[in-house]
Amino acid sequence: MDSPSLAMALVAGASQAGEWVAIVGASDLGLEAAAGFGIDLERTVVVPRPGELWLSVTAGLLDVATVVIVKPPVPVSAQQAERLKSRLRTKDAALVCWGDWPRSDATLAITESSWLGLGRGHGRLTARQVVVSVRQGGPVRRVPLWLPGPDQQVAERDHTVVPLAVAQAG
Amino acid sequence: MNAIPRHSADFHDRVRRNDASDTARQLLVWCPDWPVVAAAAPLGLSLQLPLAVFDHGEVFACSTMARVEGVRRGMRRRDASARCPELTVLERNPASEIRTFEDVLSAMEEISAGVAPVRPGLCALRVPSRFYGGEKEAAAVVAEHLVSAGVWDFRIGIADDIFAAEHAARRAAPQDCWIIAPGGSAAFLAVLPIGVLENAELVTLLRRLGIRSLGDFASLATRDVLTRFGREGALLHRLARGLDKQPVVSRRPPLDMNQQVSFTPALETVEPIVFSARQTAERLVAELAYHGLVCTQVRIEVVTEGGWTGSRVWAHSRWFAASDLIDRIYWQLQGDPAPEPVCELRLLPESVESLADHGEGLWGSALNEHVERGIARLQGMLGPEEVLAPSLQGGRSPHDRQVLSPWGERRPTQRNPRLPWPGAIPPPAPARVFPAPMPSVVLSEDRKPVSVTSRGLMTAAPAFVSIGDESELMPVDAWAGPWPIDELWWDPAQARQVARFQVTGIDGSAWLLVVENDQWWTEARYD
Repeated sequence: MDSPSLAMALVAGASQAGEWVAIVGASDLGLEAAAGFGIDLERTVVVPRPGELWLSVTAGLLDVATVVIVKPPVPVSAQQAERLKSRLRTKDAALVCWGDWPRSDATLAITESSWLGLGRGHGRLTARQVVVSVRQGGPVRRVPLWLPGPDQQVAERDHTVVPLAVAQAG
Repeated sequence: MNAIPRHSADFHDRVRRNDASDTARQLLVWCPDWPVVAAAAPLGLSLQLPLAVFDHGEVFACSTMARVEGVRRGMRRRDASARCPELTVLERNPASEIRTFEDVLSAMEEISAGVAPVRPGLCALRVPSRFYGGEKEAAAVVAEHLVSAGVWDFRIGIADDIFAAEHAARRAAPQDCWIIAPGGSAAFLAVLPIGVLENAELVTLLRRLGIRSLGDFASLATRDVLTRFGREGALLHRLARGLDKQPVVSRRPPLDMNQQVSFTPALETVEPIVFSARQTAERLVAELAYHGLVCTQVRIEVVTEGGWTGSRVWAHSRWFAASDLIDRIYWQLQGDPAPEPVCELRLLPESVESLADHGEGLWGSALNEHVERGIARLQGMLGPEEVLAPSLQGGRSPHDRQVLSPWGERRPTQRNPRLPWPGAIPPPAPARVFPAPMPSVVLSEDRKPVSVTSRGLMTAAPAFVSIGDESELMPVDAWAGPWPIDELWWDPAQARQVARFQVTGIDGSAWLLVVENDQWWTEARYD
């Protein structure tokens, strides 16, 4: 996926269920945001700078954690992806890639995004409306979400809020 | 001997090999009665004769024929001659032992990199089984090579670790190999007598307690061994049990563990060098012990005035004590004498072991055992400061509010996250927090820089923002701020006046900006 928020929202469920989460190669991931999405930091391992060994580190972390978020420092080749795939199958773990991954089982991307809460010199960021496009082998699905909503939870969205300022200008 | 610079191809090779196969098996070549071989060689004596090498009046080593006649180690000269009248008496020649072994080492280095001598007569290398198509085949190649190099009496042992491999080699027939299957070290070692641990105090103590074999020792509970026999006992206990089913990657120590000593003026003869290096060796062992580590492989580098560097990796079946290091320095200088006066000696621990590495449940619950073990392996790969545990703490900027501390170390709780921190940005927290804020530019409608006065008033509304150094100007869609903070205003040295802003661009991106002294920075991105 292309957004760290999406990645964190995705793994939050597993973390809340008691699983271990690992984060590799992302030296700029916001930990408070992670906690906000529901990731339990007590069961999280972070390796921000794996360097050249990022592939073996990811493989090693698949032994430790059930879900691994990896931000590869270089484009991933198909052979590298294959090597991890077999390990994923034996370990019954999941790999979430912040970036591109060849032949992934699913690709998520944020196609539309707008933040609510800011005006011209007042307010503060409160909520984000996104449309996530999901490609899982078949046709692309488009899912509107709050990421997060005004209650700071991630949920499906059934309507779109248009900020007043934009409405007035339009 | 090769002059290999540290962290060169050899290092990456080793790392890649750890990459490819997780089990790093050791192949050990043991030349029995090496002191006899070395003493007999310059005199041209055949090893079929009964020979005995004496050190301080006692038998130090003897040939097979002498053993058949009843000569044993530790016997005095008179007793030995009485048992075997035709015994040829030789004085121990340590220098020859080392020098002749250098030839064997060079022969082994021709077919495999990473040959690490343990002591004259015993050397270890990583099993190149993939290259030769199997461990037995690899041993056969090594055997062939040694025979063609003129070494006749040797045995090969292959096991997960050097300690087990050494004892496997003793079981093998001449020029043959004895392979202990992966994970079979424990079963193999169980039948060995307790005396093989070579720690006289511990051995006598254990014998008095009724523990006669390694198997008995291994069956004791780890916690009890640690309490009763201390750290050394616990490490020997782990040796006796053989490696765990999931072998731990030998841990690479943090770089600042290296020790070195310089000689001015440069020294020529071996004795003064060894004497001067004594303190350095002791210091290295003490430093490692302070961190709870012991060194299992060390690289000794000898640097001369002219720039010549001699470097060799030494392995140890248990771990290096200071006297062991000094012995190796001596052997290295003897075996490969430096052509010029030596000006520097470096001791670089190549792999270390720690009690905490094998999560055998000494501390922590069994549930987290596999996690701790996996993390220990990663720490071995990358260093302990690279595998981190996240936690939140109090603070105003997003960067201050999160902390990463090395796994296993107690997290420094400087600021309580539950206390109110006025000035902190309310949730939602930004998904990307840049480790170092990026310098940015904020311009108003008429392309003039925007700034905030000390009273917290803005000079103009932001209309364009450029995040980071090289990016283009992006029009601002909405913004909020300034949220000024006057930190530590009572301390003129540390006083800071900053103001934060949230800004969204027309492309939908949202950023957290901060301005201080008219310079703008981007702290975080709501990604």
